[in-house]
Amino acid sequence: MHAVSRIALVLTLWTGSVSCSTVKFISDYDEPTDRGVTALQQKTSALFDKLQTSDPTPAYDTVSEQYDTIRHDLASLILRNSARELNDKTNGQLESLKQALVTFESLHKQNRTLHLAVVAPARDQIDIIVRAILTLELKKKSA
Amino acid sequence: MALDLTALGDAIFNAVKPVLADEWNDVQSYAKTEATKLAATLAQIEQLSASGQISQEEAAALFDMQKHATRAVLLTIEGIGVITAQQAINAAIGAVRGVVNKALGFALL
Repeated sequence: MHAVSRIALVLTLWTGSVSCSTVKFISDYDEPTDRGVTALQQKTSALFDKLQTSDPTPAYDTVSEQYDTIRHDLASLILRNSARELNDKTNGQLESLKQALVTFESLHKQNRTLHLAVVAPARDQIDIIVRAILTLELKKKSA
Repeated sequence: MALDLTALGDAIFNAVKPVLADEWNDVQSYAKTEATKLAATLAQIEQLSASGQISQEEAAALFDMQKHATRAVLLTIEGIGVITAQQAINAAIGAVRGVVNKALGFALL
């Protein structure tokens, strides 16, 4: 192939690849993630509602299944999101949620019960993380 | 056909300006609300610890959770910034696409 032909071919391929171009820095909105995080919030809310029915809270063993379900659902969300391109922000947020829940569950498991004074701020922090994840995911709709 | 740099600059600026203004208002509102909530939770942990209502171990656990909550909020703010940059650049490309492609004689943008 002549040099001129090669240059023409490269130019054609290049213009074809960039025509009508837009840039993309972050993952698209993902409805299953939106729904999954919302469902997870309902489950953490149900857990905290149960914990806040008495002071001290019900024993860890009586709610361990709820912790198991939350952990399982969150693991599924983390797996799904780790496969999405340009998704490091949401992945970081899901990891923060996981770590916060691990810290809280460990404290509950170790102490068997918790005082309500501990539960209220913990609930606020979990809510802040969930709201942060949903805020970013919904913002991606407008991207 | 030579490109009019002033007109191109104006087109880009006019396309980007409303995107930045809208997003700035959104991110400012979110950051202010969440910063207030984070500060209130931090103050609550300090007050509960100082009054002996929670142990040192419990305070440490809550503070650890606070760090994760703060990180999640900052990632949202960072993400909104990235989305804003994406929207602004795409708006700028869209604003000059027709003029640039016409001047070049082929679809560059």
